[in-house]
Amino acid sequence: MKRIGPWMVCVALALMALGVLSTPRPEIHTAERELRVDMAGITTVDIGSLSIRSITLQSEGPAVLRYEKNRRQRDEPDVNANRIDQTLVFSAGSKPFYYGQGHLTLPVDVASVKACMVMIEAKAEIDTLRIDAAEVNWTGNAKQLDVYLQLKRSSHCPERSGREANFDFSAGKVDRLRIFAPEASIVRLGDMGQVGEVELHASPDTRVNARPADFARLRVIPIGELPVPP
Amino acid sequence: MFDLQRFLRLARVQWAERGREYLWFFGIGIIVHGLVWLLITEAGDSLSGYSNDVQQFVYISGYLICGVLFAGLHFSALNRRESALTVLMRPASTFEKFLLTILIVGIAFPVVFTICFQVCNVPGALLAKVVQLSQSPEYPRATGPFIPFINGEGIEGALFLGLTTLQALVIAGVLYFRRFAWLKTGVALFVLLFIMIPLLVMIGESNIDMLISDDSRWAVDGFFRLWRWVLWIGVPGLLWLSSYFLLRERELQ
Repeated sequence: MKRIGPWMVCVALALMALGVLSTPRPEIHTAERELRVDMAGITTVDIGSLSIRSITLQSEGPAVLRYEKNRRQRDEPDVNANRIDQTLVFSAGSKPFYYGQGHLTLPVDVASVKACMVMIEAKAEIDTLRIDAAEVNWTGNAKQLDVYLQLKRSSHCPERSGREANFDFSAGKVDRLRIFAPEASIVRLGDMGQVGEVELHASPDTRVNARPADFARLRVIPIGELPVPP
Repeated sequence: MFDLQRFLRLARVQWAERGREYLWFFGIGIIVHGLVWLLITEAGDSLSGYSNDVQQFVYISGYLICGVLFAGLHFSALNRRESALTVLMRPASTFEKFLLTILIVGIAFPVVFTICFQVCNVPGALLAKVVQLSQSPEYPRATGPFIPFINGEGIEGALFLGLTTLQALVIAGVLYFRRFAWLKTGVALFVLLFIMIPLLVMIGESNIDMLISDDSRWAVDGFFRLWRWVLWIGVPGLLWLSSYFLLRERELQ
């Protein structure tokens, strides 16, 4: 009598082995995104489902890094703060210290912070990222980027305090960019060649400084339709 | 091939013969869970340690260990010459015996285990939550009882399929090996899980997590998703089917 059972077990095990072997290699550095955010008013970076490898803060005085753990985070962060000259470096060692979705709250005392560089390591393309900042130099890839202008007064950068916002997207790519600038009087847009759709939610009085080509496809939405930031 | 009345009679016989054994199995499981709870909470001194994550760990460990043991016990009578003949000569078709095995091992076990798990888990977790909230309400670590499919992390489906694969493999081993079936099946499982799969992962530099979880950090294409479904359904399906043929071949010999 032919025995089918053992052969079927062998086929199942072979399928299992094939499954293990066919798994794609983990792409650890598909793209390393570097987000430089000027600290003139930055309060919160909502990082979505990303992991942050390191955060470098240049500070003239004491700066506080806080983070809010989310429910899924398992490990306590392995954060080391070392003062190198006037730069505070928070590094995560071998593993990212933030994993999952949640909020990362950057220095409360924004007046003492000169600049901030957030290195974001993502294994997949960023879907949505929210930045609260007055000046954004974006060098990453994102499907959707929401920028909420937080034009707080800064003793360090009085010239930027108030109502101006500068954007440079020349080295990055965004499919859909939404800028929420309820208080801005001037919004300066740099090279937007790699930005797909641009929406500017601003007051009708806001002056927009942009290249003619970028200006033509800029969709300005009056402030009345400004959605409430989450 | 399938007669409902005959199948129901077979189920009644199974319950009459093994019902007490099943009750003992789950009863001992609850007692062990109680002891584990005492161990984790240091006999009740550190109740906050019984967090949601710890509960999930206990559930998953117990589910896998008890599930494999339960599957191995299902055809344990075949190991003894005197009882093997009785089991094989039961007046029912091979398909009916196979179907009963799937119902008891593959379906009833996960349900009954999950219910029995809550016998200790719910009071233990609620107690931990109350104590934790009274001690430090700002940082509540204990978040109430873990209930699979309700407040889990969404891996329950993969866990179910993983256990059913292991159970089918254990049943196939118990049916295939004649002497020292348990020992040989255990060795085969050990070789497969702790030597072969890690070796394949090393050779292929694979990320086996991608077969299990759907992490948004990974760029997984449509073909791989389809292939993963084929694997998740195909491997346990083939193993269960092989146990049907092994049972039939055992009866014919």
